[in-house]
Amino acid sequence: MHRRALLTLGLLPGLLFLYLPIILLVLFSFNDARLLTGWAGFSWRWYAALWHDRALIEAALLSLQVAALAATGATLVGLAAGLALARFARFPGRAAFTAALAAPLVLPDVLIGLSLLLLFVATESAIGWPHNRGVATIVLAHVTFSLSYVAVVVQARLADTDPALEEAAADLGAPPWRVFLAVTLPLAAPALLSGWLLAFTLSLDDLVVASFVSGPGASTLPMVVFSSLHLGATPELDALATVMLAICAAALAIAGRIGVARRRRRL
Amino acid sequence: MKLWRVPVLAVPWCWLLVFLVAPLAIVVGISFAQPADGIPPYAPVLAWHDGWPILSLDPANYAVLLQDRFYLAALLRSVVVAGLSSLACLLLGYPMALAIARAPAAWRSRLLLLVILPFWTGFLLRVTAWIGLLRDDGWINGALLAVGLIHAPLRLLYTDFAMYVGIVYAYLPFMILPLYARLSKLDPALEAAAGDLGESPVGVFLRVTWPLSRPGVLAGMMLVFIPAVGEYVIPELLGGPGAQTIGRVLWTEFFDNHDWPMASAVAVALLGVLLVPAALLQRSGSRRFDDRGA
Amino acid sequence: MGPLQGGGLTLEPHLRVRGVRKHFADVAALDGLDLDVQRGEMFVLVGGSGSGKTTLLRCIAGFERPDDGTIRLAGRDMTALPPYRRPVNTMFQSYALFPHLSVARNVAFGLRGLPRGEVEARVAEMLGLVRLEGYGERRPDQLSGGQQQRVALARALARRPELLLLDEPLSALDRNLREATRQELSALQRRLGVTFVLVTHDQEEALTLATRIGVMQAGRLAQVGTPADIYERPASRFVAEFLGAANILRGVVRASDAGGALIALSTGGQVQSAMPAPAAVGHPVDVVLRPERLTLVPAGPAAQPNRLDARVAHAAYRGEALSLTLHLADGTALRVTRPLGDGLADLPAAGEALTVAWSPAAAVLLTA
Repeated sequence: MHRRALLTLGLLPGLLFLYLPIILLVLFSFNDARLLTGWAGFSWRWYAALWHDRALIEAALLSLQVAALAATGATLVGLAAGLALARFARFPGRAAFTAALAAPLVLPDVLIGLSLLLLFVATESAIGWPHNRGVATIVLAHVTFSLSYVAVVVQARLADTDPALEEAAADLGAPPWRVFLAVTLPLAAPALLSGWLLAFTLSLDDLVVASFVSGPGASTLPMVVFSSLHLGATPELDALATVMLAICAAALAIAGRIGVARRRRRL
Repeated sequence: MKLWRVPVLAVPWCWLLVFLVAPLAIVVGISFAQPADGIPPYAPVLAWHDGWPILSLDPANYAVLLQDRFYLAALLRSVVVAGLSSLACLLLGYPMALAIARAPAAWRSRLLLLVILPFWTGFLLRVTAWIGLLRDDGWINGALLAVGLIHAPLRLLYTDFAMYVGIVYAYLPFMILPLYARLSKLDPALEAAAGDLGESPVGVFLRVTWPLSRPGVLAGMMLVFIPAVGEYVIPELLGGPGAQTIGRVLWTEFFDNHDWPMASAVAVALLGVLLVPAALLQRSGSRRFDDRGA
Repeated sequence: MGPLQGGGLTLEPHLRVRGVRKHFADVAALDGLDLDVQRGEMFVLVGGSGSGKTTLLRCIAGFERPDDGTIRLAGRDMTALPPYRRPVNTMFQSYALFPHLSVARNVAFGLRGLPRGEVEARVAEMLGLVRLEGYGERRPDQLSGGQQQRVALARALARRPELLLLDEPLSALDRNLREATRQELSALQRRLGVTFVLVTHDQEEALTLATRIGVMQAGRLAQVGTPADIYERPASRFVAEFLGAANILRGVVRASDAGGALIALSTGGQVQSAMPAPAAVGHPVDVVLRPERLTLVPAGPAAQPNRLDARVAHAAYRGEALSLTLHLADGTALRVTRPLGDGLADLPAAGEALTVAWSPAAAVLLTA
């Protein structure tokens, strides 16, 4: 009784706060009216408008491309960083390395964005690169702020695994490269997957850093959404949010299925 | 050190040096420069005279920063907004974290997922939802008008209230997750023992649960405070024109005034403001790195 | 390969460790250690935690590089070889089975480079050896602790190593299983003839398994010998107390020759030992008396050597035996273990006066 009261009283207000805006947003994305107040009947018109919004779709494709590249890069660099932290007990500059790796987790977006833009401007005048800011510079920036998250996940995973596993592989005749491929990498795989997904999401969500380091002609989805939000929210954006929500829910359901299937196979 | 370790260490080290340390150093350098017409729009800090590098550091930007009340007020306002927001997150998030931690074991991960789920829909789109709720012709005003509680729409959007709601909405999970991690590790027998020793439920909370959860509270508050201090998007989209937080000031200096040196000086000030909470976070035991380190 | 082909002209032991030192941040884990192990031996290293036994094992396996000294196996210097190039395999305390690979693929992990058919045959042979036929497709987390232990053993033996290192191989098993597994391990080792070096902190395990035991203390070997040697003739107080229980009484040498020695105890009474004194007449020695070598006799004239009068301070019933704590006249405590022959009828009462006696062969003399 006591526990149920705590559950209801503790969770219900918070969950209402979290979900009410989203539920209303989904609902009104099907509203057949230009203005937001009042229900004017069910309609797909905003989804149709979304489908025909070339600028928005191009921005979405660009964002997906950037996110996939940035997530892959962040996973590779983050794997190396997590590996170093989890497996190399001592190395020169460990304290500085740890601090530098933790910095992107606490630095504000505006600071990361500004500093990277100033870097790109400086390298352009020094070595002529990057001549045009765009996908490449956004990807580099996104790798920088998300590699720390990957490193956290990888380090936590490796710290949880028995270091004797890698020694056992060496003991059984595997040279270091094979120890890495046959033991370390498979053990870190779940962390690499979730790190990749995290980096992908962070990249898709970023407005501020991309606004700084992007150049003319390369607008990511958040940049396009932001400029139209400046003009006011439209039901079309509600429809976009609903689509994202649906994709997210589907991804979760699939991940859940895979998890259940894997657990079943083990039993 | 074994040879194969060199590239494993060198790749992330070089990446961080080139894309994190060097850019921050450039920001600090340019904060001492003067704006100029041209591309890039500032006078070089480093000049060559007869083969010698001459560093000309001009503290004028910092003088402006300290003398012009506009900048100091923005810094102060950012700290206040971030502080109040993290307090609001604590008030809303603590009961939620406690309820999840005390829920039946089979529910916990699902409830936690339920809390995190809204945050995978995209940051800007969550802000969109609030614009729809809060605007003059939005759903809240519509409902209040329809019920007859008010006769003219309330001004909700572009106010401090809207900004706080937006920040709390955006950063609530950063509060709930460390709190939950802490609370779920507390031995329930501790609370039972306190009750057994004659404490009332309120006394149990005040004398046992709350003190033991304090590291989680500190971590959660810092995790909300730190990103909220530098927040640009929410004050810009939900706050009023008067809500000049430091993130917004930096953005304006850079994009609208094209004063890169001033923007850099503001960035350095923001960095200085963040040092204290970052150190607190490091100490709060939620250190994410180096719990194995030497 | 015959046993004489170990190392060219000189007959070298299978494993030869010479002067090995290893420091960890100012702490000497191994302090100039020498060790010889013959082919086919079951050599057991015992010692307290921090005595360096695991570090020695890791140096032999190649996970640690000694600061100084050499390690030779089958006539080859292995000191500088990385672990993956040593003909040595290890069975880890945690078993370290690869959780992402099946049992068969765990066992086959070290068999890279062999033809496929041969790998399959070897895996089947190894699984048969540890009685796990038909478990090849399981995952390690689907096995019981005892089965995992056997997979670890099969995996380590699959490469037919010159030397198998076992780090606390039985410590993760529960008590009943441990005893049965100990016998199996011993039988397997004798059947295969592979040289085993096993580390344990369990003295019973060491005594029952070993062909020879090495007792480690502070990074060195305090004593090496057969289990009987070490138990019956401990070389130091440390060894006497580490393996088995021991009563140690201080005394002074009265007389000594090749046939034995006479010691006057400081608690009163005399000891006639079958071994010559390790110190000159008039010098102090320690007398080691094992609790189970002491017998209780009816009180009698106490003037004879190897008899002491005592009172029962505490009697504990242990099921298969009786543990008594006796107090001598000056209060020195003496432990006595006595089998329970005729049941409980003769359980002594606290305060009862008794006389303790032993044979000259039971009294071991050490330099004090």
